[in-house]
Amino acid sequence: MLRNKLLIGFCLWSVSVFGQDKEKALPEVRIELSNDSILLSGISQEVSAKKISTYAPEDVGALMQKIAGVTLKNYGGIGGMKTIAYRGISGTNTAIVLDGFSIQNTMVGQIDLSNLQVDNVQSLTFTSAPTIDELIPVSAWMQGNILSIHTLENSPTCDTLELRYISKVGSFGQLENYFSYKRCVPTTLLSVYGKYRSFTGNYPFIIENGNSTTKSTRNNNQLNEGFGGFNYLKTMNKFFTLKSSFHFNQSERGLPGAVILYNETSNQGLNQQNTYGNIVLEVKGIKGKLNFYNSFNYGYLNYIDPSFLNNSGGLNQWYYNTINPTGVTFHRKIKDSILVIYGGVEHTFSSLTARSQYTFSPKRYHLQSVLGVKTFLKMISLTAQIGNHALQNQQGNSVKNTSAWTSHVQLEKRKYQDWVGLPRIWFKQTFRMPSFSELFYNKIGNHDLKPELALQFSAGTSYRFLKNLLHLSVDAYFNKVDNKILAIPTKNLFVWSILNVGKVQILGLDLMLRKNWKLTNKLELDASTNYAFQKVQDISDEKAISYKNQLAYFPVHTLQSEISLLWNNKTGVFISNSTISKRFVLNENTSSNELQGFSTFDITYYYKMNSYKKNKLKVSMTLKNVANTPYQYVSYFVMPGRNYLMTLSYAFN
Amino acid sequence: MRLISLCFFLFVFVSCKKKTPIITSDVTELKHGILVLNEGLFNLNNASLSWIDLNTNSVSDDFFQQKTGRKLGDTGNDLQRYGGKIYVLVNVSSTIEVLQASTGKSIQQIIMQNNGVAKQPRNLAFYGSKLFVSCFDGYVDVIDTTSLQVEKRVKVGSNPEHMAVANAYLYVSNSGGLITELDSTISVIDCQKLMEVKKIVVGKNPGKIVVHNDSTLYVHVRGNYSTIPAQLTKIQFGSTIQKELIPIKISGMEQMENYLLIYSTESVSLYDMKAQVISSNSFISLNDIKTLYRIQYVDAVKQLFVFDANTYTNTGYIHRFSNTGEFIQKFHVGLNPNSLIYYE
Repeated sequence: MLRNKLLIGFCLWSVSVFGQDKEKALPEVRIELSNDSILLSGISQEVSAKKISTYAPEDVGALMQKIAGVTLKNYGGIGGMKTIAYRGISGTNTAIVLDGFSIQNTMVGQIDLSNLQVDNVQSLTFTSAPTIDELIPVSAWMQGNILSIHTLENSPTCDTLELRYISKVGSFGQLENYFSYKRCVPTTLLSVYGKYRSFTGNYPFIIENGNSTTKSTRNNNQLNEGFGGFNYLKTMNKFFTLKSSFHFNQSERGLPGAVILYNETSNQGLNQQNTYGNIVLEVKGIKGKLNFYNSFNYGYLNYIDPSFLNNSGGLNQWYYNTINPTGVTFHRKIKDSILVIYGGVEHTFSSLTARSQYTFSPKRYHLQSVLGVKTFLKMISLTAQIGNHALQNQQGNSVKNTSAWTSHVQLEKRKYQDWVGLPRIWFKQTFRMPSFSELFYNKIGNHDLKPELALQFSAGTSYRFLKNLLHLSVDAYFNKVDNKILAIPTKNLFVWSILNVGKVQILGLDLMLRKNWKLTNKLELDASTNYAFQKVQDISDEKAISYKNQLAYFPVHTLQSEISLLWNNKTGVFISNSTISKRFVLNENTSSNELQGFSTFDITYYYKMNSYKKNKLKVSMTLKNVANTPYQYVSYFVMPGRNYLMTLSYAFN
Repeated sequence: MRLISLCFFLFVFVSCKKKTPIITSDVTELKHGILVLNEGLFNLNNASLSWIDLNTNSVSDDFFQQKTGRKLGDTGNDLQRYGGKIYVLVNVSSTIEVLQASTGKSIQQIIMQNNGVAKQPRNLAFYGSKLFVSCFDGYVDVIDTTSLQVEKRVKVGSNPEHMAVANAYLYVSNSGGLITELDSTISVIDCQKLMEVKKIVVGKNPGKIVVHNDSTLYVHVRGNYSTIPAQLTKIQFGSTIQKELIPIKISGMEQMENYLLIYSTESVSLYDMKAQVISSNSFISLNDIKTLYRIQYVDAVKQLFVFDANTYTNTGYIHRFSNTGEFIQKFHVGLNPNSLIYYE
């Protein structure tokens, strides 16, 4: 079975013959939109390094709430777990691509975005469309959505020597230092970076308890974390480039857990290490590009609970996660770039070794193949993609094969017209495979789980007004999730099982508005708003009391607004607001399950000092949650009140 | 465009400000009604007490907060009346709330911690002037019902849970629910000397204990929910201890006079403890019950109350049956109802 899939996959990419032209370098394949490419688009949203520095997020997770349609689950504080859902579909349907390589976790299926730092992020792009300009791993192409992060150290466009240093000091013992070194010569790039951050995390909070409020301090919320890595790029000749990168992070953190009324004791801790190594051989030709890649993801997770009431002095559990993808991807232009064919095949081995009171060590072999085509006609472009994921799970003597297909069809208008703007429409069928934990964890794991299926249909358009100063993007969508994998109690509240029992339908609207004013030659004002409406309904059981109720933790309304005032490109003030409407902590939408909505404001002031030769210095001060609003993303995981962050950034380039 | 932006803000602010008011009870005297403990769900601090007024058949789900001005806490595990007091055991919050039985007003909150570590209380039992509290940290706490102070901690097995009193002895199921190999014993505590006098091996993961005629224990031995099946074990005291396995599918049990109501997800059987036979395999209809969580028999009115957890994540129901298994009525209560006190 798997061998057949391998053959099919091989055929998918090998049918593309590469005509390498020795005379010309490869021009990037880009959607030609003339000046319309600056329009906001619901398909793809990008956050630049400049924006990131003004948002002053603690990590990529916190940054993600700026993306329209994203629902963030933030468990609080620096290092507090952060996961996302997009348009009502869980984050396990989103691929995380760092400098062109997938970051994966087959243990739980979802990446904790608090493990991704932002100091070296040059751009962050969230897209629902296949990325063709950049060849990304097949596993990422297969996913419903792609979060693509490009780091400064991996960018080949640099001066001969580039140095960066960022230091941050913030409330509740926050201290961060980041350093990077990058050296470029015409054919070689070498960069290294490192970062260390620590956080005491003992922030005060206020929580409602019936008719009164209780003041307390978050404890066991400390973090010590180090990041590091290097990149090496070598252009061997005009056809071959070798790219390699290595990233790691290691952390020790307390897990404060939910605030439990009358019992604030908390002793749990988490030690974690993630290592990502990647190597790619890029072959360029006049008509296309071919990438051979191999990655290595290794990580461990050590959960400690000394207060767990067993007979061995608590819990000390270890989980080792290994993922090793190897693949090839390509794109090729045909007929004067009217048609682009792209695709690839990837084989991945992944394993998990659990050393806890429940020992298990499953292995998994994946074969993923994708083939797509994009045509650039006079008025429209059309993209069609199909993919297959064949998978073999092994646990002990048990071997189980699973397979699922993905498809994506997208139609976009290429030329702007006043009355329709720049419309787009797309349909996508994706899935997510059950994680190792869902399949094998102790007695609750279910070996027979099927893939969770997601159908997405979206239509929208972008407009510009007032001489291109005002941009508006509107997208409406309908999504449906079938075979949703849920953990539910089956025998009593302590005996749970994982089953394919959920069904969800989602109806939503994303609206983005941006305006830029050049008030004077030196003064510039920029304002933007993202509004998301999403009706995420549980349709699992018509007879259930929660039928067609809003799914737990999805707000119906989300609003992200910001205003920035820039003077002489040197100094500026940036004000941002996050407003999230009420949510429910369970699928039954009763008043007792209601989690209040909130609105928080942050303000940043920054000043860039005059450059001296190649030396640049910037200082910024951010006041977060200015109004000291008590709020929670997740029930009883309290967020910090008013707090500050001071940042000093030095660059040599 | 400014107007549009303003509209968005207003729309969102309006939508997130209003909170549906919680229906509260203004009952001053507890009579002709049912007080129900709703367990809630772990980490949500949403355990609650519902008051069912049998005069009007109305239900208010916020009884505790209305009486005390504060929340009950996280994971309510047991509710019992003893003398003039009601005791509400809240497991994850690690507290016991003591209320006046006649009014529901708070008398005291007992914090169940040992050197700053939660004891995680599980169940209540009474003998004389003593309240016994099984605590997941391996002890049974002895609390004086007048002073409401912990007088002694009696060391038992791993993760003790259900208890029963007979002949001045307290029988404690040591489940070992948090240890890999599970516990298999029942501790026997002398209620006057307040010390463990013996351990009886009954099988993996013992749960509820029912005492019949002061000489026989029926123990729900739960197994490991996987390869070791649950079973009903009968222990007969005499010159020697005799054990017997009763072959019946079981996920819970409740005593109804000389009968045991033995239930699983599919059926409720009636076991005659005198004749030692199963007298009915389908004593009550479960057609309208989504998730059978527990059954409680109230001797004062000779009626059965079946707790429907309704998938555990939706608010539940209490179904009322006669002692002959005829359905009487049902009430919609809070999240995961698990025990009640009946007021005549």
